[in-house]
This record gives sequence, structure tokens and C-alpha cells, in this order.
Amino acid sequence: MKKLIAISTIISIVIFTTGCKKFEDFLDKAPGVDVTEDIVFSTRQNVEAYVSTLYEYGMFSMLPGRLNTAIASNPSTGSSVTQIGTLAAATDEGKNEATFQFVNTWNNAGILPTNIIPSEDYRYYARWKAIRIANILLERIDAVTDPAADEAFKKQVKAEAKFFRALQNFELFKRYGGFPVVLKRYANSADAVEPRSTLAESVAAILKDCDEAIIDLPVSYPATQRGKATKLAVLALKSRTLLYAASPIFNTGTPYLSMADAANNKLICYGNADNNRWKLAADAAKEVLDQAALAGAALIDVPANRKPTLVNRANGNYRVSWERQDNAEIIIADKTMGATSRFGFPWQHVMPVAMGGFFGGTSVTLNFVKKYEDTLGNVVVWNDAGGNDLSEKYASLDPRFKQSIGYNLSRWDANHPIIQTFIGGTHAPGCFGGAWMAKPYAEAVGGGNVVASIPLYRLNEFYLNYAEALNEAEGPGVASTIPPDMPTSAYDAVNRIRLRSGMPNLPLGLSQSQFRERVRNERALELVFEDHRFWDIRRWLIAENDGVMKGAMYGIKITKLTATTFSYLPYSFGTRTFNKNMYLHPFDLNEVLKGKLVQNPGW
Amino acid sequence: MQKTYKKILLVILFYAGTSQFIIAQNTSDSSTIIVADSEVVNIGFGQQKTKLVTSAISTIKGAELQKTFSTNLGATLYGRLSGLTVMQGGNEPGNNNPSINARGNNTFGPGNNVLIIIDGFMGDYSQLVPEEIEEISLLKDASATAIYGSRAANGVILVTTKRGRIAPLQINFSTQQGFSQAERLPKFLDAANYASLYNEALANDGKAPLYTTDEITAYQNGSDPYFHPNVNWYDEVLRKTAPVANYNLSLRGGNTTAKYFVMLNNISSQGLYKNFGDMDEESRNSTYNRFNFRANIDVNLTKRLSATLLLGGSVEDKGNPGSLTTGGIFGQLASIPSNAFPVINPNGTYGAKVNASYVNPYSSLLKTGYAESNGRTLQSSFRLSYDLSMITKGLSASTVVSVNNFFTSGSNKTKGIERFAVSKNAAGDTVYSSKIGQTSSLVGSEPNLGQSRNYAIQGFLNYHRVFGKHDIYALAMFNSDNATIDKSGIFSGGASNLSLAYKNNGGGGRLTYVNNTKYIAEFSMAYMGSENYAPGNRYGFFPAASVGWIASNESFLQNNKIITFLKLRASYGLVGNDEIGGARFLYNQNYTYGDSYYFGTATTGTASLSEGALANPDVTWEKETKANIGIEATFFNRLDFTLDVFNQDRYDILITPTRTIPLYLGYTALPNLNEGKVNNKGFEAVLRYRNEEKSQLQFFVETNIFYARNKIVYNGEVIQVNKARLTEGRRIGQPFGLRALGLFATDVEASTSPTPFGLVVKAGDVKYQDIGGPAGVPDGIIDANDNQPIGNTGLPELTAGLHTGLRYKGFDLDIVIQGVTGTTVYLGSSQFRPFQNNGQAGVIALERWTPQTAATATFPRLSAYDNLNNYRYSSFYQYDGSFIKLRSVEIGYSFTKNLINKIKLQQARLFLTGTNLFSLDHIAYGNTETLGTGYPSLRTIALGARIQF
Repeated sequence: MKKLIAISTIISIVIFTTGCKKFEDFLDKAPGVDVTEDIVFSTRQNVEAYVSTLYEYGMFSMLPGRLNTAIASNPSTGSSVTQIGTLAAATDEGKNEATFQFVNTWNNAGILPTNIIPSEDYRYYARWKAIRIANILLERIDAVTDPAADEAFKKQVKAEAKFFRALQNFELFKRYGGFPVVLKRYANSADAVEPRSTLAESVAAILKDCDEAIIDLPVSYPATQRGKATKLAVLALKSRTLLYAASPIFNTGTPYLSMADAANNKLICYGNADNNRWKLAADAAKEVLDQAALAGAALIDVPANRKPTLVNRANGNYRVSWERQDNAEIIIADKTMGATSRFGFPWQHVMPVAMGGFFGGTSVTLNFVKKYEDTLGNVVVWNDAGGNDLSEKYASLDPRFKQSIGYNLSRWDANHPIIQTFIGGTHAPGCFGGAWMAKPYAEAVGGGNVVASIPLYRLNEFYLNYAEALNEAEGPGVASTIPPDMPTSAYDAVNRIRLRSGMPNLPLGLSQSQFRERVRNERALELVFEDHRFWDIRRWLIAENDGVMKGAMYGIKITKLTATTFSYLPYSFGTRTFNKNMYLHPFDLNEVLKGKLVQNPGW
Repeated sequence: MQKTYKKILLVILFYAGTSQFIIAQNTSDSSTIIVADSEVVNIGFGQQKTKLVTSAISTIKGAELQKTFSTNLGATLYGRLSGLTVMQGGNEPGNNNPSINARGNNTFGPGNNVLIIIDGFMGDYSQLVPEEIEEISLLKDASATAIYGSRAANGVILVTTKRGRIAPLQINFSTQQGFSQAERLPKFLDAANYASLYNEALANDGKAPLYTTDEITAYQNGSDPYFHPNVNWYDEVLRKTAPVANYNLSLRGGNTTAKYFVMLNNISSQGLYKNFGDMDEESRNSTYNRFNFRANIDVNLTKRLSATLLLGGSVEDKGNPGSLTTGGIFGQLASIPSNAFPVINPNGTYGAKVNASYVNPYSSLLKTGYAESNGRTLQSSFRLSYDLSMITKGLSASTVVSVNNFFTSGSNKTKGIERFAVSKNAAGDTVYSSKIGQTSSLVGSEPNLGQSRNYAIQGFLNYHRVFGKHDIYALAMFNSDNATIDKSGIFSGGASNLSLAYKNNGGGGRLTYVNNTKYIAEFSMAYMGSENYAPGNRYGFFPAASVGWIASNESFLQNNKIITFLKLRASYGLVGNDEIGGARFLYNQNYTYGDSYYFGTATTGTASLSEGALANPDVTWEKETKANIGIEATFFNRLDFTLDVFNQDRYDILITPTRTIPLYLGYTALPNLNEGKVNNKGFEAVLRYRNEEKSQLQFFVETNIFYARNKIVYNGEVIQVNKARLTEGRRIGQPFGLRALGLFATDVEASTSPTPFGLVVKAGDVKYQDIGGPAGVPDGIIDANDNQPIGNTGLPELTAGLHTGLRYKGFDLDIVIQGVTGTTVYLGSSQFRPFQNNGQAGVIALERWTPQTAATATFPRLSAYDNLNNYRYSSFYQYDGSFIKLRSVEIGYSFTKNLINKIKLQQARLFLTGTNLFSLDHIAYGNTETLGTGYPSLRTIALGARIQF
């Protein structure tokens, strides 16, 4: 027996001394071609590639893109979400011609916690992925040892990461109110116990990232690098954030609906009304205007091109500002999409079916067209009983109408040089409103494959942000006869925008509330179809008003009288329903059921 | 009728064990009746006295398997091993591996493969022949399998090949000659029926008829075969019977120095295709031909040192006209309407139809070349054993290396063939279309169709000694292997990772203590490491323990006349499954390159790197705790009874935690976490009866029955608003679909009931139950929100086998019947979708709804175009998949010794074998197990002769 023990011991020792290390080696994975995270953070080149992924996941624009599968997919199910249709059709701006569009769900109050992601927030997954990339960059960048990755590079990467984190967070804030502020990479779900932050904390988190990002981002880039985050882009984000934060929906003690547990109301509003928030918003907007010139950004304003005719509208100030890529007014643009033709995304969402679009075009409602003044600044009367002067009416409207709307006898692009929306006309089918939304379809798209650059921030917005905030903080102020480029009053800021499109100054002597209506109207027109209206009517809490997103919506039926004269007849193409709970999005039901998110009221 | 089947099944299953049932065992190899229970049974890396076994094991002798004629060893196991569910896979010779499950399904992960061990090493058993097999054992509980550690959770099949024995040389030669035929072929409408039903379908769609009465008459009387053809494509392409043959020569014997078993086997099974190779040099006949060889040699080199060489292999040749696999042609046979076009046109060209996707199967087989494959397998091991009794009595050591290899190469010749559509123009002249397809010259290719190899080394220390009443068995072993097996069905991910070898290191041991041949305790374990996990997580420990009590050796039962043997046993242990799925090396966090952002005015994206699915540094095996309680009893020395009850809890199944991980973590793809759980419980019972060994008429009956039901305990699935869509709490593989409520009686009923969005539904269409919507309540729309569990899983919950035989003088009879129930089949193939995808109509179309047959119709109204309501995945097409099949029958006659001894023969026997002779089931349209359009299941009848010198 002793012998047995001895032998066993010897064998055991032999196996374990010679064997263990070898056994472990034997099981090591053979070298492969896998790129691990350590390899990503080993060279500047790889870090740059990872940063460009941050742009790909984090940047977006007013137009629904087709995100690639990795970006758009739900990490739970792997299934991809594509938003269909522009949001314009979920506001009083327009009506989508296709019945299958999810965007229509907004008009009949069919929004549910189960369909919010395909209905609007198709970037829900992409946004969190972008935040994660930002957090991984912030976590790992300092340890990169590649000498090419010097301190300045690292600082800039961190600033870009913070800008993108703030950008994603702003998008959460405007949809949901307070959100889970995710400031680090989570290794597993047990780690992730972030509940929703209060609205105040959420806004503070966005501003903190902005303030830190501003310091280390460049003022501008060479043309080949245009599209990268700049100081001005962060200032723009900050302005928009503060404007939204000061708006009635959030800047209040009593939210539009109370949360089931009133103690949670701070998740969706500040809990008090504070006029100073408007002051902060005005200051932030002013900062954008002040810093613009340094970054090479300026309002497009060639005096001769303020009121272009249909023939030379391509040079119209307003048209140039939204149509021409990388124009001076653009602060930062979305460049996530490669070259696409008019039959690719996102133009398929913009072109009417009659012109070859698949997902349906958006026609402009009469409710909205009524907002356009004539070129003298007078209200245009659209007779309920109709009239025979449609062409004359169109001719009299604000030049911006002609530069953004595809109305009867105007132009779409070289493939559709004359738009016919009269009864029996080529482009009448599906045109409920009577005219087509033409902006943001750039004519160049009609000519072949174009890399789209669709503005995220344009300078004109910040004049209007400034005017709105300053009016709320201090009133309309004093109007100059000729509004200066650097306005100091709400009047001047609005008038500067009107001037470059050949519109006269607003009438003097408006009260604060009268001015409020005028600046809101101005904002609707100047920023039409740019994904502002949907959010503006929410933060102003006016979506429930009749004719905005509630009650009968109108279009016109156009009858051809002669080759150049047409009659119009207003008619209701349908009614819309807006419930108060739609002021803020519901969180996706799956997410709520995971037990970490408090659902918004009314859902 | 269905009720009758059920009754028969019940009678066989549950009343099989009454007193007149008996067992004996007939090994046709030696043609002598021997005692059913062998003295020893194969267990993991060893053998054990049958009476001392404390774990759940079922076994079958190789000789038993010879009674089923198949080119695949797996196909001989139907209903033979209690606890093993064998399910028919393909039927084509050489492509007919049945799937097997031991004790049901225990994981919803992709890896539920039973571990196959051939003479101690992992391998593929499908190419072995019964003639080289001594015994196959199924190891079921933890105690039996723990020594296989991380590979054991799905059960283990031990295949033990024949070895030499100390006896004079025995030469066995046998041959079988016979034929195979399709058990059942799908039936389709002839041209006349097709045309008139097509007209009816058009009328249902609101369209004008396509065929005139004259045309239908022409289809019917066959007067115009070119312009009104009526082609049964199965008849054109297939023959009624295909020859099969088997030859086997084995030599067995040995003395105290050397023992040997040498075998050479040839099996061939020609395909069901007609002999296209005889008709054309650009085709070939369908053949399958395999040679198996084996040389197992044991040599005592010195007094203490012995060596064993096990060498087995096969060479498989296969060829088919057209392409190597037959699925494409069979799919065509089942889709071309019988009136579509003639096989051969009046001018001798091949028929076709304009603007149709049909090819002409006849010309495809005759004129488009052929494909061949040649597969070689080698299974070898070399063992050295050393008796260490000089150290201590009962100790021995051995070491063994194994090399398994497999390679299949292909040889294809392809060409195109033009076809023409023939028609009559207005003037009545015969006109041909421009050619469809292009005739081209023969082009060859030599593809590699697959290869793998497995190197392994093992070392053992064995100890067995008796100290008075104490009997001790001990085993310590280590194993290291390295295999390049293709597991792409289980693991996903980059090809570079998939082709890396699977490596495993480990050791194991077993200690058995028997006290006074009454009380048995056994402990076994494995400590195993795999390359698939992070350093530090690579090794796992898998222990199991079992106890047994042989009550019949106690004084109060000794010499009891009724209970001649009684053993109670119980086992419990932990085992693992390393086929976890997911990508390999999940512990690595990987990033992938891509193109992304378009900075400046660039028209090409910059390079990007993005995070892949989240790594799981703690990824590990699936694990399972298995509990098993068994009782073994023998009454009157005649009636054996075994009952096992088990409960198995699988956990650490890889899931994506869709329910728990909030998406604000920002993962691109959720990590795979070891969080899934499945419970599986059930029982097995075996009952055998055999009559007196000395009686003239010897007979035996053995029945086994096995039942298991599993339940997904946790799988982290997506939260569903409609709870009916949850898979958790249900069985693995539970089908989900719409519940059909029958057929709409009236258009009014159809228009006022919930229907799919945007469809006009009419009388005679399938009515579905509306149970949910996006908000969780019925919404009047039939869509995926209305899915719910329907029917049973594809894996039967209950399988049973009945094996019976008798022997009277020189005659013997042996019957194997298998039955299953608790399974559902789905009529989903093209033969059940008349006219859909421009296809043929199966005879099921005759059961269609019409206003006249509304009360009795079992099939919805016909549509000439693709019907978007009637053919949704629903309970309408689910049928009970229960069946009872006569798997094999053998009738034999052995010549008397007096007669054959004169011509120096030890034995001579003639036998007739029938395989898959009939099936009782609920499906009128085909074989329940293969309802698709593929190769039909085969019935084989062969006459054999065996002589032994």
C-alpha cells in the first residue's frame, strides 16, 4: 500500500510539474486576425478609425437615413429599424401620401410604448451605442502609448466624445425629459443601475459635456475635414439645449400631465418656472452668433438674391442656405451617407410617388401655407369658399415659400421641371395639401449619385433662438431700421432673418405675447421641414391646439382654368387627434419592463 | 381510423409487459441462444459486471443491428435503446444520418449532440457496419457519464468494436441481395384534374377559366400527348426498385499470445433514379458503394506488457446524375404541373415551358453531367498496457494514442442543355419556342467536400482488488485531444476561428467500492479544460456519485423463488456540455473594420473600427445536474424489469439576455451569457421475458418505453406584450403559430371576422383566432401578434420499441417495432400548397372547400395565385405525428449441424430481411417522418446467406 501511495505521488508530481504549464499553453488560442480592444487603443490610426465610428453612430440630420444594420439594429433581437417618412407629416407642415407610413401614427394618436421606436425614435439603439463609444474613448484614450497620439490629439478626441455624448443626450432630453445619464462604459447589466435623472440633472449633464468639449475643439478644419466637431457646433448644441430647457414644457412647476407618482414630476420638468432660464438661452444663442464669424460661418445674404424668381431660385439666399452642401451658413452637417441617387435613401422619403418615390412624398397643408405672409408682410387671406386667383396668390407669397415648396407650376428638378398638382395633373395623386414639400430635396440629387450633407445646425436658427429667448426674458426690445448682423434685440434678430429673404421688418410696437406669436411663426417658416416643428409645437405645448395637431386639417383642390390660371378650393383631408401624453415620448415598453425606467405620464 | 391506431399503440406500449412476454437473445452471428444479460457491460473507459452497475445504461449487441438493412448505422437503432430517440433524417443512400437524442432534449442551445465514443475516442459512427460492432451502450445518468466531464451532458454512446478471442479461427461469410423501393411517394393531380381544379381556383380568384372543356377532355384521354401532356414526373425519372447488396467476411480467433478480429465489408445501395448512365455518356447511374475494413489485434508482448491495435476505416463512393445531392431534382418533381410540358418534344428535343422556373428533370438527369464523391475514414488507436502487479497486486497502467481521419473529395462534370416549348399556332402548325437554357460542353471540377482529423492521447491507471468482503475498483486517467471537426452548425463566427482545432485536456477517475456484493458505492469525476474559454476559466470539475443495493443478496430474499434478482440504485452528479454555441472564444472582445464617415467632400468613407458583440470573459460550459433512481428486478429468472426515473436540470445555457440588459448600456449586440435553464424529466422502462432455454419453441419479447418532457425555465427572451408568445415555460421547439378555427362558412362571416390586414377573405378561407395586437388585446387583425403555442414539438415525447422473436428447430423470426407519440408534423411542403408559386397540386387539393363540400372540406378553397391568408403557419396544417412502424423483420433458417458438418461448415443460415415494411400513422400523404419533397424513405427487402467455417 505504501508503494502504491509513493508511486501515485510520483506520477502526480510529474504530471503537475511538467504538465500544468504545458496544459495551459496547449489550450491557448492560436494567433488569429482578431482586432481586440487593446489593439484599437494601441495606435493613433486605430483610434481615429474608432472616432470615425463615433461620427457614424452619433451623427444624424433632419432626414431619416437608412442606418446600416449594425447601427440601427436592436441589440436584443438583431432586427433593424428604419424610420419611414419625414416627421413633417406628423405636424401641421404636411401630410404623407402613403397610408402605411408609421409617421401617420402620430396623426391618429396611435402611438404606443410598443411602437415608439419605429414611429419616431428609430435612433434609440444607435444613440446608446454612440454614447457607449464615447464612454469607451474617454476611458481608454489616455492610455494610448503611440507617440503619434500626443496630448493635443487625446484632448481633441475627448472633446469630440463629449460633444457626441451631449448631442445624443440632448436628443433623449427633448423626447423623454429626464433620462438615464450614462457617463461610463458598463461591463454588464448588474453594473447598470442608473435610473432616470431628473430633468435638471439631465440638462446639467448635457451642458457640462458641452462646456468641457468647447475648450479643446478646434475653431475650424480644412475643407477635407469639414464635418468634424468644432467649437461652434458645441455652442449651437448648447443654445438649443438651453432654449428647450427654458420652454414651457419643461420650465414649469406643473407638467402637462402629472406622473403617476407626483414625486417623479421632476423627471419631466424643472419643478418651478424660472424666467432666468430664458436669459441663459438668449446668452447661449448670442454666443453662437458672436463666435460664428471666427469659425467662418455667416448668414447667406447676397442682396440681389433675396427675392429670386423661379428661374434663378437656385441662387436664392434661402435656397442656397439649405440646398448647397457645405455652404457658409452650415455649422455642422450630417455626412453619414455615401453617394445616393434620388432613388436611394433618404430621397425616397421625400419624392412623391408620382415622381418615382417609393415611400411617399409629403404635401403641405393649407394650415401651414396660411402662415406665409405676402412680400409686403401682410396676412394672406385664403377664402374658405375658394377663389380663382391661386397663381396670383402663390406669386404674392414670402420668397421663402417659393424656395422650399413645390407648388403648382413650380419646379422639382430637371426630371420634373413643371410640377402639376391641379386635378388631373401629373403630380396631383396623393397631393392632399395641394403642394409638395420640396425642401430638403436638392436638385443635384436628381442628376446622379451625390454624397448628401444635410445640415444639423445652420446659423439662421440661432437668430431665431436668440429672438425667442430674449423676448421671453426681456421683451421684443428695440428695432433697428436695418437689422445688423449682430443683433442685440429680439426685433433685430427676427428682422435680420427676414431681411435676407426680402421680407420687411416686423411691425413696431408688438407686445411680448404678440411678438411671441410672430417669432414662432417666423421659426415655422424659416426652419420648415427641418425637423424643428415637431419639437417646437411640443415644447410650446401648442400641439393640442386646433389646427396644429388636432381637429380638421386642410388642403386645397386645384382646378385648371387656363394654362396659367387655377382655382383653389379648401377642403379638409382629415382630422387629427393629439393626446396630452404625446408631449413626451413613451419609453419603449421592453425597456420599461426591464424595471429600470419610470414611464412618462399617460403611457 | 386514427382511434384504432392509438388503441393499437396503447395496447402495445402499456400492456406489452403481461406475463406471456419473454426474452431471449438470438445472436445470428453464432446462431445460438445465449443469456440476454452479458456478464459485463461497457462503461466509460472500462467494463463493469452488469450486476454491480449503479448507473443508467442501456445496451445492444451488434448482431442485433444486422437485422436492419441500412447504409447508416444510426438507422439500425430505431427503438432499440431505451432512452434514445432516433429520428429519420435524409433517406438518400450516403446522406441518411438520423438525428439522435438521449433522454430527449435538454438544451435550447445549438449543441444537443450525443457524445459518440468509439473504442474510447470521439468519432463518427454512421459509417460503421453492424458486423464490426460488439456492443453499443447508451450512458444516460451522471454516474455513467461524469468521466466524460464537459462533453457528457447530452448522454454518451459507447461503440465497442469486436475483438479477437481465445478460440480457433472462425471464418464468417455472409451476403445479402435485395432491393429498396420508395415507401411512399407524394401523389399529385393528373393533368385533367389539375386543369379543372385550376379553373376552379381561377374562378375563386374572380378570374376567367384557363382551360376549355375540350382541353380537359384531351388531358383526360391522353389523345394529344404533346400539346396536352399528362406527365407523372416521378414515373419518368424514378424506377420502382433499386438493388442493394451486402457482403461481409470476417475472421476471428486467437491464442494466449495474440487475438484478432479482421473484417472486410462491402455494402451498396443503388439510388432510385433510373439508369440514366446507360442511356447517355454524359450522365451516370446513381450508385452508393462502401467498403469497410477492420483489423483489431491484441498481442501479449511480454508477461506484463501487451499491445492493442484497433484499425478501422471505410472508403465510400457515391455518384448521381446531375448533382451530388438529389434535393433539387426531387424539389422539381414535386413542383411541375403534370400538364406543363411533355418530357420530349415531337422533334426529339427536351420539353420546357416558356416563362416558368421549371427545368426538365429528365433532361437534367440525362444531359447535364454528373457528380461523384469519394470519402475515406480512418479510425485507429494503439494501446500499450502494463501490468504493475509487482508494485501492488491489481494495479495496471496503459497508454493509448488515437488518430482519426476523414476526407471527402468530389468530382463534378456539368453542362447545360437546351429545351424548347412546343405549341400550336393559330393555323394549327407546330411551333417551337426559342431555346430555353443553353447547351454547353462538359466542364469538370474537383471540390474538397470536407475533412477533419482528431488526435488524442490517453493514459490510465487501473486498480482492482478484493480484500475479503471488500471489492475495490479504481481508475485514474488523463486525456488530451485536438480535433478539427467541422462544428459550424454549433459555433458561429469567422472562418478563421471555426477552422482552429478544438482542444481538450483533462483527467478523470472512478472509485467503486462493493461491500459483500450487496452494497455498492461509486464516485467518478472529471477535471477538464477546453480552449474555448479564458485562461483561468478553462478547467471545470464534474463529479458524480451513485449507490446501489442488491437486495436479492440479502438473507431475506436469498433463494426467493419469485424475486430472483432485485437491485435499487440512485445517482446524482454534475456534467457539462461544451457545445455551447455562440462564436468561439467569446471571452475575446473583438472589433471589426468598416467604412464609415464621409468627411469633407470625400466620396469614400473613412476607415472605421467598431465594437463587436460584447465579450463574456466568464463564458463557460453548459452544466447539468442529473438525478436518476432505478430499479432492476428479475422474476422467476424469466421476467426482467428495469425502471429509471430521472430529473435533469441544465443550466448555464448561453443566452442573449434580452430581458434584463437595458439598452442604454449601448451594446452593439448583446453578450452571450451563461444564464439559460432547462428542466427535463421522465422515465424509462424495459420489460423482457424469455421462456425456458431448453424448450423446443424458444421465444422472447422485449419492450422499452421512454418518456421525457422538458421545460424552458429561463431563456431571457424578449418581453412579449402577448404572453402567449413567450417560449419560456414551454417545451424546447414548441411551434408557435396562428390557431386555425376552421374554414369560413360564408363571405359575411369572413368579412366580419378578424383577418390579416389588407386582404379580402372569403368563404372557404382559413379562419384564425385573434388573441392579441400591439397593445396586448385582440385588435381585429390577424398577424404575428396572434401567434400562440400550437401542437407538439418535432421531437416525440414518448418513444417505444418492441422486439420479439421466436425460434423453432431451424427456423427463427425476429421483429422490431418502433412507435412514437407526442409529436406534431406540419404539412408545409409544396405538395400541400396547390398552385402556389406556379406549382403542381397534390392530391390534398381534392379535399378542398367548395360551396358544395363546405360541411366536410378539410382543405381551404383553392387559389390560382399565392394566397396570403390560407397558407400562414397555423394549426390548420398540423397533424398528429404519432406512428407505429415495423422497422425490421427477419425470418431465418439454419441448417442442422448434421447436414453442414459434412461439408465442414460450422453454420449455414438463410434469412430474409425486411426493413421499414409498414407504418401506421395519421398522414395519408406520405411518410410522417419525411413529409418534405426530398428523397423518399426506403423500404428494403433482402435475402441473405451466412456460412461459418
